[in-house]
Amino acid sequence: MKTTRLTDLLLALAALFIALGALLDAWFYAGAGFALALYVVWRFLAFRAAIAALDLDVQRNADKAVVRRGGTVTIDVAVSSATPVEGRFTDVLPRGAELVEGTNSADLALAAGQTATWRYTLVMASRQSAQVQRATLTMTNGLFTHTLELGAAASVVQQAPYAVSVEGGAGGPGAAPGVTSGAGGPGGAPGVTSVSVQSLYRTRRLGSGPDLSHIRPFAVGDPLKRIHWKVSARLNKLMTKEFLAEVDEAAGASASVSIIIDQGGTMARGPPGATELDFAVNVASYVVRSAIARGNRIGLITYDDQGVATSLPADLSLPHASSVVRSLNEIEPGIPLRPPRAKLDVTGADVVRVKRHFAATADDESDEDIRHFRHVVSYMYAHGEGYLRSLKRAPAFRAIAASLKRAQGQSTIVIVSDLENDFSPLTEGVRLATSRGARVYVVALFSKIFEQFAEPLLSLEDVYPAYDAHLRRIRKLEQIPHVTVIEANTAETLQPALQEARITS
Amino acid sequence: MSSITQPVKAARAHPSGALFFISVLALIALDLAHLTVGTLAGAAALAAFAVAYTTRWHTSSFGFYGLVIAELSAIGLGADLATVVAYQLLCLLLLTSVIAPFPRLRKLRTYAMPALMTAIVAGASLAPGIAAAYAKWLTVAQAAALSGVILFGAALALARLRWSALVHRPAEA
Repeated sequence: MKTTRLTDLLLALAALFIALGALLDAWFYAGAGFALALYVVWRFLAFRAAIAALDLDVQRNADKAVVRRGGTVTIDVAVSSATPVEGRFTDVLPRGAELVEGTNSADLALAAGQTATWRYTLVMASRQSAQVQRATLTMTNGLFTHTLELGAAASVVQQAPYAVSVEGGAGGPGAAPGVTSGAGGPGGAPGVTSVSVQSLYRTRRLGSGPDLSHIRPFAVGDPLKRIHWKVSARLNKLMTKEFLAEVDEAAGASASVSIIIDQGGTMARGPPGATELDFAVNVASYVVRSAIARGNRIGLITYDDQGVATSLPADLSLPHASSVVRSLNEIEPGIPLRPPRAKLDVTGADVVRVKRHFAATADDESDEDIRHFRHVVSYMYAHGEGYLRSLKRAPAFRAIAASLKRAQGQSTIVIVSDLENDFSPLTEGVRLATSRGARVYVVALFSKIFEQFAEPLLSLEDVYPAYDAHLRRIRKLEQIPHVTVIEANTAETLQPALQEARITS
Repeated sequence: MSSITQPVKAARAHPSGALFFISVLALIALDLAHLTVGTLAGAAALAAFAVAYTTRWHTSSFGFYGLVIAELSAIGLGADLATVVAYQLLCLLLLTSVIAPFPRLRKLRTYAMPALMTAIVAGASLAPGIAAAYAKWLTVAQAAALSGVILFGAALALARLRWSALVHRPAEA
């Protein structure tokens, strides 16, 4: 609560009158100072009572749940109050969103039970969930101003801060009951996946670890040191803190699950809301849910044609899981442009260097066959060096290598890709991972069929060879021991396939 | 929800204008009832302020000068207790009309507790002054100033206090 300039002037005037009254022995002025000070006290207490009596109900409705980069979303806001309220209500826009039409701020003057409604349109700078979860209400009584933050529960966990949503958004099965979410709703698109990270954490075994799980009403027998005094004072009833189990206590906590998502340009194929990348996020949401439920460490690595885009090392904490989910919500397909890569990454200097190496041991250069043999061997050697060099630069290989480097204990790697970007490095990376004892699941997506709708000249006959090539890649991966390949292109088949592979619980 | 298109209603007009005129007229009447050259000048200044406020400078910062003019009126030099109390009440009404309306009457229940607390604070600050005046330790004016100082300290403390507990509210219903 802040004072206005007028309040300071009033207090100064009160002080002046009190001083005048005392010095001039004029009790009229002393009384005037007294009255002004009393007035300030009364307005302060009354303002505080008005704030405490507030009972706002804010409903928002967005016309879409997930907005692509540059896309627009229209949000309807309805604010009603059980008590009269006056003030300036402002929706806090999501990061990267810009207002293009209407206003996110309104001067409210509501009587009890009255509703104010308005609408505004946002344009998103990145692909993200169209959720407006926070708002502010600035109230003033002329002498004091106060800004309330609405929608963000201070300590009592009522809604997850982030939700993985492919289409349909929060408000699906994962949303907390009784809480109106910012977007989506029960009528979300098929294949809705919504993972409430905090609610998942609550499903983990409670214990005496350092991570706070949630706060619940006090029950007889709760130790006093677990009482959350600040929240208890705020809610005027005793509340008890619940902690998650220690990392070592949780079953399977030593294992780590790394999710590797290919976000190359080809992953943008498919109809809006059901692209390959959307399915990849869908898969990741299942894996995140499973990992949290089991107490596993979760890591997220994404790569595109340029390199590794996101790299979150495996960790167990709630903030880390929220970061993973936030990154999944913000993931976007890369730019589908890449420079043509030479099949053979060998330079003339490589061949000359290797030939010099062999020449140091040359004993008979007169034999033409031996010279030719040396030339071939040196070329192959140089080719091998070049191959390894390009392999280490390949985003897919680097992503897998990064996940291995950071993995602790038993490691599971889930790769979601359409197998079209850097398949050879991907295969080598998978071999490397399995050789180090990691379990690898590859979720292979194929949606080239959708190109037919975008490109009328493309016929189904053009799709068959592509699908054959896709199947050949799958067979090649399946030949690697300890690798499970899941071929899943629809939301209906995805979860059964994952459960069959026992990635999810 | 899809049919939500109606614009936000403008803030309801409050009867602050009527409150302003009633308080100004009553103050002028009190000045004229205790007619001296000083009170006549004060009444004229107040009337001039009212005209300027309503016709040109209709802002709360300018309205504050009306309070200063009223409080500095010469009526304070010879007024009795009843006049002073009435005069101060009218001054506070004038102040209210230029800065913000009084809380709505239908919310009296909400404001019952603040009013009670204000009365307690006022009583607590008046008590030492009254006691000192009865004991003849201080003159009436000094005793009133003592109570004013106590109350002023309380008001200053409240104004400077930060109520962090009210910064966040539980999630919207």
